[in-house]
Amino acid sequence: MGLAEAGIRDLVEAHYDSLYRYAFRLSGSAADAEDLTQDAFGKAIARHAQLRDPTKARGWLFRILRNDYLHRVRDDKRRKVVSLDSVGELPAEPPDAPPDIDPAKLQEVLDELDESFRTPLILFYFEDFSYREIADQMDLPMGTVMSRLARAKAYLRGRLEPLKLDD
Amino acid sequence: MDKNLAMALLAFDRPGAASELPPADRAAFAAAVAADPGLAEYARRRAAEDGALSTAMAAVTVPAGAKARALNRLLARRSAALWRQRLTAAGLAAAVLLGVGLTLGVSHSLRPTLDSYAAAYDNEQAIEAPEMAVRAFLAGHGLPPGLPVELDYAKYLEHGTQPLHGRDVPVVTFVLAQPNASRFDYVKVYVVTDRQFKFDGPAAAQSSLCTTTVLTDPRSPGVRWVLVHTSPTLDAFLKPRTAL
Repeated sequence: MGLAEAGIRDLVEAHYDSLYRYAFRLSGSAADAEDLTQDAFGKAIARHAQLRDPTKARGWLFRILRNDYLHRVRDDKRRKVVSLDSVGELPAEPPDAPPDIDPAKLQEVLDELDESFRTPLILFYFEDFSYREIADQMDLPMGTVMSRLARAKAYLRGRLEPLKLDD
Repeated sequence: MDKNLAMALLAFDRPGAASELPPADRAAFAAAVAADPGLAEYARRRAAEDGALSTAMAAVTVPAGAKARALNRLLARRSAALWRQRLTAAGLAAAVLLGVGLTLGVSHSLRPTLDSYAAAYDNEQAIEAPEMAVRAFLAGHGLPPGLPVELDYAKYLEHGTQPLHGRDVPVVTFVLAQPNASRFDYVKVYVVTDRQFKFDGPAAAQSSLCTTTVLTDPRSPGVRWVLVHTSPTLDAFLKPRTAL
């Protein structure tokens, strides 16, 4: 048997909101986000014995959720994503003033990205995961994570900037 | 520190997040930023942009009641799993109890009642009429009632079953009382069948103290009488005026 009732309450209370937001940014859909979050908690509770260090529950939950998400979209060939092959890695010049970013537009741009670029971006900006933690989450070398983040961020800038200028 | 390197290290020293730089690099990085106003301005603008992205990234409204719904479903699922577990355990316990009960009941019903009178009577019969008792005993085991040699029942000691090569077989024992002797001679007659043993060995064998003789009778195919005796021959155990 997994966690006791109090343990389940504590786990959900501590991590539900951030896990839901992560799921939403990954899937772009409120319904999918709710399902993904629920399933991630369900699996975490069932496999609770695998979590040796309770302080790592957040990363563990995020990893379960991402695996679940990848499993769901594995066969979804209809999804169109942009290629980031032509996007440079060098950091472009940051804007003079902090950009006023529309969260809905941000989601639209995130949805255009392949999951392998979207996930590090979300983890880096939304939950302050370190490069090391993101690398662990995605089973990637840290250099690959840095490269993907730089390219994804450059793409994000390019797609969000015109909106700001239009405004 | 080189400016390009410092710019690259900015990603590892984000405001509001734990720095990923080793302490020595962090100090060198901070010194480089402090010494270069252009780099400091770059770091400020980058931090502002990162902050704006972080804010926008986190601007996801969690639907009202979603957390409570999830919690209720998780608790309900846990409760159902607990019940399944309890029912399974109860079912297993009931099965074990039933099994133990049946075993005890069958064991009890199959155990014979000790009959002290019968024990005394049977022994008395063996004392008073040993040959008759032995014949009845052997016949009760589906064996020829008589022995293949005319052993003297005045020297009869007992009959019953004893292990021979790990199998319980009927045996009749005769002893020869020898006053003042440190030991007494005996002969044991094991009655065995070819359903119990293969008979590939010699019909007779001898060790330091014992001799084995295996006898057959054409009238009783499949039966062997295995005589183990301590005396050199069986003569002392035969009925008077009878030779083997």
